[in-house]
Amino acid sequence: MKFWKKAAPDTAINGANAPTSYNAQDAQNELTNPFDTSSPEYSVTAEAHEQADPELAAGALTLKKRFSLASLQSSSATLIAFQAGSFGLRAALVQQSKDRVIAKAVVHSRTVDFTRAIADVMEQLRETQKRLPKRAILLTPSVVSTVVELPVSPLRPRSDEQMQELIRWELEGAITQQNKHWMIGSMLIERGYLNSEQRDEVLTELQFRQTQGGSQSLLRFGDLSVQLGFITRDQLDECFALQGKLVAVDDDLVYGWQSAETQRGGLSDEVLLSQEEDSDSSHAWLVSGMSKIVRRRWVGAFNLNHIHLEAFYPTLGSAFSCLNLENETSHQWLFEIHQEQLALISGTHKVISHFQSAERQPGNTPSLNECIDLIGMLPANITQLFLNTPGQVDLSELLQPLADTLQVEIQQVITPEVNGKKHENSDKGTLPGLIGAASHYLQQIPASRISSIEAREQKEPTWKKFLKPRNLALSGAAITLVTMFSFLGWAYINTQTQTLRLNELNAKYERDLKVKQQLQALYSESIQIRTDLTNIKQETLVSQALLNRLELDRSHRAVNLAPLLKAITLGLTPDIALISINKKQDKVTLIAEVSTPALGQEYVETLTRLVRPVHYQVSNSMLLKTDTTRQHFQIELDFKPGLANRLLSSIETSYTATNTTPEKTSKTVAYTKATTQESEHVFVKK
Amino acid sequence: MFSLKSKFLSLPAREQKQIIIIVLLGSIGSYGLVATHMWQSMFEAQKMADRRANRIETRIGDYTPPEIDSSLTPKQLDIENAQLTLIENSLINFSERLLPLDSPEPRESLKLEVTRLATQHGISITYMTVSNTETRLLPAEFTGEALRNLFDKRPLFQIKGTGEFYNFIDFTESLKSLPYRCFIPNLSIMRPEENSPTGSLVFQLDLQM
Repeated sequence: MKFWKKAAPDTAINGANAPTSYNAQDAQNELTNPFDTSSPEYSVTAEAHEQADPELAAGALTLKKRFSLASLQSSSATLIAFQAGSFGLRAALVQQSKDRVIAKAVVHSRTVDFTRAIADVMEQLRETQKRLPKRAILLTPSVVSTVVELPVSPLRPRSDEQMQELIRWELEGAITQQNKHWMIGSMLIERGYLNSEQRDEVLTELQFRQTQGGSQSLLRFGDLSVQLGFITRDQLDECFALQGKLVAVDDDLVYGWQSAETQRGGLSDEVLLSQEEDSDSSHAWLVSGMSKIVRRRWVGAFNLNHIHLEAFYPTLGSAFSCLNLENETSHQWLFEIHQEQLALISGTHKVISHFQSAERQPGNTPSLNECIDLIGMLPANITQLFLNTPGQVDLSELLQPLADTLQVEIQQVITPEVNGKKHENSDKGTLPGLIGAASHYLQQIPASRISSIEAREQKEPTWKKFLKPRNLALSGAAITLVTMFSFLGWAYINTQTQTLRLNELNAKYERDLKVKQQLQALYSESIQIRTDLTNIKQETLVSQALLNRLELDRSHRAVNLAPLLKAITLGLTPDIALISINKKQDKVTLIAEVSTPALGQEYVETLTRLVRPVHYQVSNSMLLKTDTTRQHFQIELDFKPGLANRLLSSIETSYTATNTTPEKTSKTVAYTKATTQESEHVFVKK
Repeated sequence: MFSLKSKFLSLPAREQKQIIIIVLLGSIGSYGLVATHMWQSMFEAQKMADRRANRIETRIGDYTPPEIDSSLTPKQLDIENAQLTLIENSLINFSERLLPLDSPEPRESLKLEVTRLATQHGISITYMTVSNTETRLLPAEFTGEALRNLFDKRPLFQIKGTGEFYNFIDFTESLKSLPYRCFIPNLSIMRPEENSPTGSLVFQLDLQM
């Protein structure tokens, strides 16, 4: 099961096909100094150099972790601790047990190339354990660590930029001293190509030739060593290649820091007081630093092997973490003797309170004086001094005099067991450092005992970036600009919207007004028609009534008076005499004188029959009282319109036909015809 | 642009600062002018739109279309007009044989004609008078009330006379021969008085013209 996603290109390295070397000095770089940042071609050459160096290119890659249940079990407590140096690359497969970290296997490679050396080491470790963890830490002399006094309280930490700026000034000297570690002579010794006596001989010859002058005085240490036959040209070139990778003459460094004032039972009073105002106080900080280029090169090399490099640890001082502390208050001292340096570290189980290093004098065995100069006077209560020698240093003549001088017991740091067995290899002095760094990384010891450097730059949270004054000002300006132009945009859009609305309202107004006017016109026309109809109907009624009256006047009133009078006289007998005839409009009143009422009744009956053709009828008859012997009989006649009216109308028509014009005659004939038809219709009905 | 930039960079820092301030103030001022103009335009547009909306609300509002009787059509009006015209034409026909009122001459000649007819039929007219004799001009248009007024307050001849009954009947029939339309609305025939020398009937009639 893979724990790491393959993010690097298919340049995965294994022991067989790993690249053997990098042509870091291409034609361009031979003409220009790649570390000269003042050169105008600096940026171009840096990019070209990065493209030509796959380790640097791979340093920018990010390996993505793949989550799996197995990572929550045993593998999460295992890692590979690497240690780099002139000797090559050494690695220990470490595992976290209950309360300590143990090494399961230790292997090493002498390959100069980082990527191939890692692949070589991984191949060897795979023989021990088939499935290897994909995370690692690296101890390298490129990481410089020391204790410095900074005007920063642990309770008032400053920003990363400020801390790095403060540490940079303090570490400058240590970095310069550390670069001597990569001198060609030291590297040749550490790689085993040259021993201390030979180096001293070369140095003596070099000084002699320099005093003689001439062309021979221009020879350098490596060339002279080849000339003297101590080493081969290939061995020298190998060290030069390694030196080119490990020595970065640039000012761009990365740092790590830990407060060195954490005490048992809480912080000291001084530290607590510094919480309020610490501008004048200074506090101990365990700091470390390394070149950013070197870090990136190492990260790239691990990336190419699909290993996630987590942190860098200094070679100096890592072994201090491996010391067994009897109790929390005990103060321990560790004296480390490296090939080029001496270091004295002291502290408690939580912090390192003293860290001092010094350059070694030439010679295989350090002299007692230089050791005493570094250690100085130990506190009176110190009875034991731990000693660790990672390199092949002969200490047989040093230990006893040193113990006698310091009046302490000198004890070698116990080499941890490897896979349950005692480690007896020549590199056993490096194991405490590896185990100590791994313990620190796996949080088996307090964090403040070593200062490590993150393998990858911690990205600053976005909200922190935003809170920077410059970003705040830019954000404010951007917000202001956006607000200003948003206002303009809003005003423009609103103007367009309102203009559109106005046009729509205008169109609606015109349309609705037109419809309303049309409806009102229709309604007014309807009202006018209603009024006209009413008037016309009224006119028609009145005119029709007048016409009817005129019809009556023209018909019976004008014509049937003579027939009526004739009919009245036709019914008279010798015994009946008319006294008077009165006609008021259509009512006729007769008064007749009769001898007997019976005659009167007979006359009424006869009259009823006679006046019927002229559409009169007897409406009433009565006998009037008189003082004479003859009876007066009153008869009332009423006009009853009907047949006689129509008959007389036809007579009238024939009369008018003879006295009117043809045009009028035609109209009258038509009207008469119509009335005749109506009369016939009335006849039929009757 | 490049020359401007180089010129700007060649200026002292103080003058660069002054130029930046001037440009900044100019930009802010320009922005203020543009923003004011756009605000004014927006305000005007909104005001006009609101005013138009208010006018629509005021002048039109929630207008409910009136209910229009579909039967009230010009065609119906034409039908009614045609009917009225027919009636009025009939009235005009009637009016053509009416006694003209615009002049007294026809009336006087009619008196003479009536008297002649009465004499011709043996009727002796003892009294004759005419009421509603005012002179009236003919209307300009023979329609409506003007037309109907022709038939109102027509002259009424009140005649008294004596004669035989059957002569009187012949007289009434002979009235048809008059040039103008007339009829007898009221009539009274009475026996002669006992001391009458002729013993003829007494007639009293109204002749409506």
